[in-house]
Amino acid sequence: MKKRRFLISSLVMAGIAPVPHASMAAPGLSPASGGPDPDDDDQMIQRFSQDHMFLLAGHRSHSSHASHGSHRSGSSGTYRAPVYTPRAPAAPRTSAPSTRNERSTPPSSILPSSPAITTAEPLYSTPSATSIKNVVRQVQLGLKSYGYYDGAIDGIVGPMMRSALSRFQTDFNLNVTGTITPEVLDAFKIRAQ
Amino acid sequence: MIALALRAASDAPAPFVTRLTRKPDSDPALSHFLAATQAGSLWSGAQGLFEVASAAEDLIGDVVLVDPFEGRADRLIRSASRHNTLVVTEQCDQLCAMCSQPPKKTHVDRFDLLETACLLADQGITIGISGGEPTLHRARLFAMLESVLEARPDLTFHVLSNAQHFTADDALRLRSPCYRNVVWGIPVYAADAASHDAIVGKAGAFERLMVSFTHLLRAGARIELRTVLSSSTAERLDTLASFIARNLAHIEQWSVMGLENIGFARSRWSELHLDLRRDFDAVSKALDRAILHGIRPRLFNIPLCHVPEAYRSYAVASISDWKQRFSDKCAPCAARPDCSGFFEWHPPELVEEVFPL
Repeated sequence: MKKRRFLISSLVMAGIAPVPHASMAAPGLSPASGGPDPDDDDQMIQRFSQDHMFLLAGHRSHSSHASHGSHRSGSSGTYRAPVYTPRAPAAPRTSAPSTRNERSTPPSSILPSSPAITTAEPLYSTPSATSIKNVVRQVQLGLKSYGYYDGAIDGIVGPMMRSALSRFQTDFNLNVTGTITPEVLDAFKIRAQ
Repeated sequence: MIALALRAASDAPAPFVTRLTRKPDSDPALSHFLAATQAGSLWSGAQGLFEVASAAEDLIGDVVLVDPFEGRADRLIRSASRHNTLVVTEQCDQLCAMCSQPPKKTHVDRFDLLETACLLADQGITIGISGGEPTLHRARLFAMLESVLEARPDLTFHVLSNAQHFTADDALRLRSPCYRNVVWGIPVYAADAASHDAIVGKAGAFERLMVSFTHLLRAGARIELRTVLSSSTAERLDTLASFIARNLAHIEQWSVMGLENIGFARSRWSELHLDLRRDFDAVSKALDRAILHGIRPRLFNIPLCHVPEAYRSYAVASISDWKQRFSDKCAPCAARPDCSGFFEWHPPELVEEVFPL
């Protein structure tokens, strides 16, 4: 009990914001107790499963698009820019959308638990420091724990990683590109919100 | 100034073109926003993962060319912009005195990537094709225009060309209905061969231009003539107007354009630049003659307050959004939305010489 709490706070300190529970997303509707119950087993599983969700700074307002309008001249005709519907704020995902082969063992079920906590170099950093290297590192870790990759966890895509990706994609019935596709991110449940 | 080339990183093994979207999409040609990063934004698509040094909001809807080796992303077609131009080659066989993009010797063939980009463009836009001289690679160019327009008849192309290479065979090809959506922007600087050839830096250019006009006329091609105003073209502008009225009456538009202080013109600015607030007479004479003969003239790249009131209706806000600039003094001006403004690289002291309308 006490240990669990300690784990949570160290995760938070490491910069991993836990996935907000539904009751947190709508505080006004939740019972008087407020936040999530730390003893709720489902929640704990959700938090420590391989759902690598990390919360990132929210989008800037969509109204910034309006600035483009000023460049138009009066003769622009009837063309209108496509309208993008803003994403609804913070609806927590409970299950990953699975577009991949369901018959294969999902990587998340056999990957060692929480590599984030065991590696010396922090995998997850504060949201503002997210970079392509960080994501590549996560994919390298995933490939490594699956036995496809034996190179350095350096965030650099080299020939070894490329061939590892191709083999992984082949084995898991994904589109074989040798690159980090949305399918690969999905397979390792690497997701940014 | 809007940056068209951004620093970028990607795991892809080769350059690729993709359109940026907010949400994941099953279309493999699209890439979706993954996360905001310190450097800019992170995107994921079928071709790979990539990070671009710009906030996601500014890029949503853009068609970008990501080059992992060069470490850059080119915003080929910007959503919601009316000014999208694809450079198909940097080679050119002319050496115009006022060229804004001096040519290079080598050609990098990007037609396949550019074709992909066109297919991903917003509905109904006009895509500019420029160079260098696009018709130096005529076969590739025509193939691209034809295959894009077959799939996307809603698009229009505006191709800038010196018209030194059109042949009788091309005339037959250009009769295809898809070329109704192609306008050829062709420069002509004077009504006599000696003056025109001197300005474009190529002997025989005027003669060859006239041959091309015959072929284009036979093809029923849509033509926009372009004349850059400089001290050397202004004095012959009226003669040129008569020449156009007599010989090239079928053109859609004659664009008389302000000089751009970049490229070759930069080093010769004082020699070439024409102050229209003092010397508009030559221009007004030529415009009057063109209008009289039913030629549609347009004034490009000239701020409205530099044009006499009677001719302001011919001036268009022609300067592309990404290189357009206004003076601080323009703030109270009521005509600003219809004004070309200045080029980003216009001499700063001249940008200040405006008066709000």
